[in-house]
Amino acid sequence: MNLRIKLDDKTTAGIILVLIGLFSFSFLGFIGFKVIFGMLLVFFLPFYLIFDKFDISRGEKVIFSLFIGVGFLPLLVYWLGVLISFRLAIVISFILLILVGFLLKKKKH
Amino acid sequence: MKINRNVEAIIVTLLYLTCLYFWTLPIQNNPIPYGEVDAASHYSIADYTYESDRSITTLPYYIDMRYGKANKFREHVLWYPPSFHTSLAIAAVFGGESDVPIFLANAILCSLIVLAVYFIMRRFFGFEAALISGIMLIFSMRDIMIYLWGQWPERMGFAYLPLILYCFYKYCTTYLKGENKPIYLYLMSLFLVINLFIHPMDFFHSIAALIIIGLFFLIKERKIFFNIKHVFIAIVLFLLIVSMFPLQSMNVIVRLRTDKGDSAAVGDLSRLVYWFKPQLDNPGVPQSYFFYKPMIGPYWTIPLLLLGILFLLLRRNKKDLVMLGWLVSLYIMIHLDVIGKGRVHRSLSGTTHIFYPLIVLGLLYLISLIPKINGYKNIIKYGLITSFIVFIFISIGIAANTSLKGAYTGISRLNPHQYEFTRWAMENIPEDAEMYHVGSISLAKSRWMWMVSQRFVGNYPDHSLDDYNISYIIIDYSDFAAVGHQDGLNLVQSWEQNLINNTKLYDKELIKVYEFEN
Repeated sequence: MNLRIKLDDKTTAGIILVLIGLFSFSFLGFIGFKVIFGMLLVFFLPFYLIFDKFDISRGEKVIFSLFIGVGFLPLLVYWLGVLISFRLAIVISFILLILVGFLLKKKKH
Repeated sequence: MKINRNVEAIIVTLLYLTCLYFWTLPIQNNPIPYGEVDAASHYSIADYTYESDRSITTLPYYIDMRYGKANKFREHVLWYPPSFHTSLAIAAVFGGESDVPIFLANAILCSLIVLAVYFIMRRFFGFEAALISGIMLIFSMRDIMIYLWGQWPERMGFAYLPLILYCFYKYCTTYLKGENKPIYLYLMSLFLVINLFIHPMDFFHSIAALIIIGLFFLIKERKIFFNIKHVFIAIVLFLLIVSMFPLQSMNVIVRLRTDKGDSAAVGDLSRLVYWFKPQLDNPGVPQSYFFYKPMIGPYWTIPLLLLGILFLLLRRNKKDLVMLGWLVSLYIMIHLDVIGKGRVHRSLSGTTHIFYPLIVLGLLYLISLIPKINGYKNIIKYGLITSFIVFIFISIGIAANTSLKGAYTGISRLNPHQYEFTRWAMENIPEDAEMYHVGSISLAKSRWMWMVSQRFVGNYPDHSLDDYNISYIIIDYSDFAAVGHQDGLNLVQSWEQNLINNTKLYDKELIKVYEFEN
């Protein structure tokens, strides 16, 4: 059985974000929306940029980014949070990892 | 079934959102924290980190009163590395408060097993096997029970096991083909260290599975399937990251040497012929926790489970050996009590993560045996799969939904009076003060008042007034009034009458707080 519908990557990402947004608002309200998108942003995005550099499949990049993100980013935030404000530690960790992702991407090109 | 990868991405999103819908039912209509005492401890670390805007190094007074000696290597510090709790605190920052964000982030982290099992099954056995396994795991009662009670990191830690096994498999197979992909071994190392940080028990499950699968590969290939340089780098990477939390990592080692496992089954070899014998002497969990039907599924799934195992045993390719090794390692982990090791009833909670995929493989294997009947095979196949999912939902989905929807309703969760009091106490009671809760209906309720107010709360009758340096007494009529328990109300009233000459600091209809000189 073939289930072939034409969808490009950007449309797919858009549909997924809309689905997550609708779900968050409907069942968990604005707080849920902020938490889910916040977590996606800091846990997933930087590591996806980093894994984009490596020769692994897209499915692997997605799942590894998520699982490394929720496991590794908190370690960085924790130690920074010992020295500075916890909120600032989140921002700095995020920026650092995004920078690493972009640097790796630049190196790849 | 061939499926466009973008369509699949949308289906996986819907699968996981469905999971989150069910798993967040306990907080959708009531945002007040819930769970047993373990839940309160996990909440407290994340909540304090969020409120104080600093990572915890030395435990604050109210957490130290309960967990000050939990780290057996160095007292008064965190007992496990705080990666899990820091994730919850990050969620609280995004949500702008503690309660809903911590519980929502917890639901997300605890249910990651659905994505992990989907991923490994998709890679090994295709879309259908992955989707059905994922759907079944949403309703895994044993996972749900432990999630609701509060052993949160343990739930999340199990999600790393399939990824660790997948990376190991990828590394070995690419190495044997002559392709050099050490990245999978380094990723495995990263996942292992995260696994250890989140929950040591899950880490040992992963190690056991790697040893068994490694042995299976060795028997099959009769040659070394790894490069020693890659292994060395992976070990160095592991040790480097572990050293980020020396005090907590040492605690794991000390506990390994000192903690006693379940002792009732030591030397009982008859245990080995059972998957798991109910622990009659374990008051911490209901007896239903030990049985197949209420926890895993209806008995008609057992032949499918055995068929799934048979299918793997007959084929025995490397993917099959990974699944079989996972199963064998779980069997070993849940029988460690025979030699006096492990908390095996906790290990048992990893059962459905391998049983459900095996049941699904049994179903698909059975379907593959159906002969082609004039092009009707697809209709029969998808008809059977749909029927299976419907039957599974009726058998375990409805029960799971009821458990999640009805979790900690009524007086089993902090009531609005108690919650209001905790907010007041946080503002008005000194950080190192000790309070005594009269009118408590359970240890867990008082523990939640303790952790949410960020002030120590001992309770009557579990603690004695003389055990602590009590400065305040909480006179709480709220729970006994809610259930109409007249004897309980009289008891609380008698306590209050003895305090009539003391200064009253908080005076609401159902909760009062008096100053007290010990």
